[in-house]
Amino acid sequence: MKSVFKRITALIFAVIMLSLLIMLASCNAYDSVIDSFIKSDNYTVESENYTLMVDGATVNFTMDDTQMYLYYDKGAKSYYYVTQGEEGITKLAIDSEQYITYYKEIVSPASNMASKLSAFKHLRDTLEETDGKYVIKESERNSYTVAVADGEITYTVENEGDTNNYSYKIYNIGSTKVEIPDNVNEAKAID
Amino acid sequence: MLKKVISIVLSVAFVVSLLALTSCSIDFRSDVEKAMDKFLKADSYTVTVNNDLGMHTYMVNNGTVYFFEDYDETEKTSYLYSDENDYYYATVSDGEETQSIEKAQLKKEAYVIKYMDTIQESDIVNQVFAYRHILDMAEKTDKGYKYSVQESTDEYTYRIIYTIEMDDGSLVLTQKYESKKEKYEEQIVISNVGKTRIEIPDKVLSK
Repeated sequence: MKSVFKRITALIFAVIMLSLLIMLASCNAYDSVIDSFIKSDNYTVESENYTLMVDGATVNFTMDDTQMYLYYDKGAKSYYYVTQGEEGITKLAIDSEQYITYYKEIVSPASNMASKLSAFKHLRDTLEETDGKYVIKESERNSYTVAVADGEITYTVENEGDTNNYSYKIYNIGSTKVEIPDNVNEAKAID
Repeated sequence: MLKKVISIVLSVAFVVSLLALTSCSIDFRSDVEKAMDKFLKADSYTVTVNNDLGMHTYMVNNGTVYFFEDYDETEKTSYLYSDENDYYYATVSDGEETQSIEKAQLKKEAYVIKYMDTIQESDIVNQVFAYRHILDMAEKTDKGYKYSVQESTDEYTYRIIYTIEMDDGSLVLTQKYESKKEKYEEQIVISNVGKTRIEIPDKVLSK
């Protein structure tokens, strides 16, 4: 009798554990990588000309040899806009209002991508997938490709015979961290 | 002894699973933040924009777009939709005495690009996406958040106040622009998120 009771208890316990694990897995799984990006506070957007790293309200933008940081220093209780290039570091102490203006402008490549990908997501039933890619041929010459693989999104625009081709890659979704280097942290700010 | 160890391990695993489940089930975010996330993930929604120029509404539902403009004496309604394997863009213009319907069949690619452009041009997704990251920096109001932005150029100073609030289950974004020369106000209401359905009228379907 005791043995039967033990078995039933073990079975109930196993079912509860399994249900919990399934629920846990499903509540963390978003519909797709695109949804993960759209809802994420941390991501990296890379094009041929620049890399934009967003870690919540902290941003690093790199173009050619110039780095830009937009961040809030909790210790100093101040917002900063910093550029670092061949000519050295320029660190501006800005107020929260200027910070919001800069922020919206700097993350605009990411917000534009979010908007495009949101629309793309609505059209998944219309588009055909080939080898993990969705290709939209506007004409024989122009095409847009959205590829999602290994947690990364690549959006490519190709104009055949034209030099105006470009692509964006979005990766490190949910895991991008922006570290403010010591020389930037320690630089003197201009009001 | 072994039984005791197994029992302890299983108990710990049970408690950890329960805690993890609880933490991901309870959503501590504000109603506005939850509404923003829901909108960004949604396949269907209704957006109404009111500004000094007039009003326009667009509804989106999984590849179908309804767009209504009332900027002057003529009301214009556009539909971008697919009907099995065919794709269409139709415009209905209602004047005081006349009504006209124009309908074009699109190639699938043209339809896809027009759909993506429509979402992109509306700029709503962009705004919600960017604001979501910086809610911590906003001033809290009874119904949501308020951002205040002041900019000065050589010529003039202007102030923009953005608010993102909930009103009767809808997400409401307002933008008030003020400078010495002009004042401008725009209100964007995002409603029926996940519930918007678009019916294409018979007069458009049969055209």
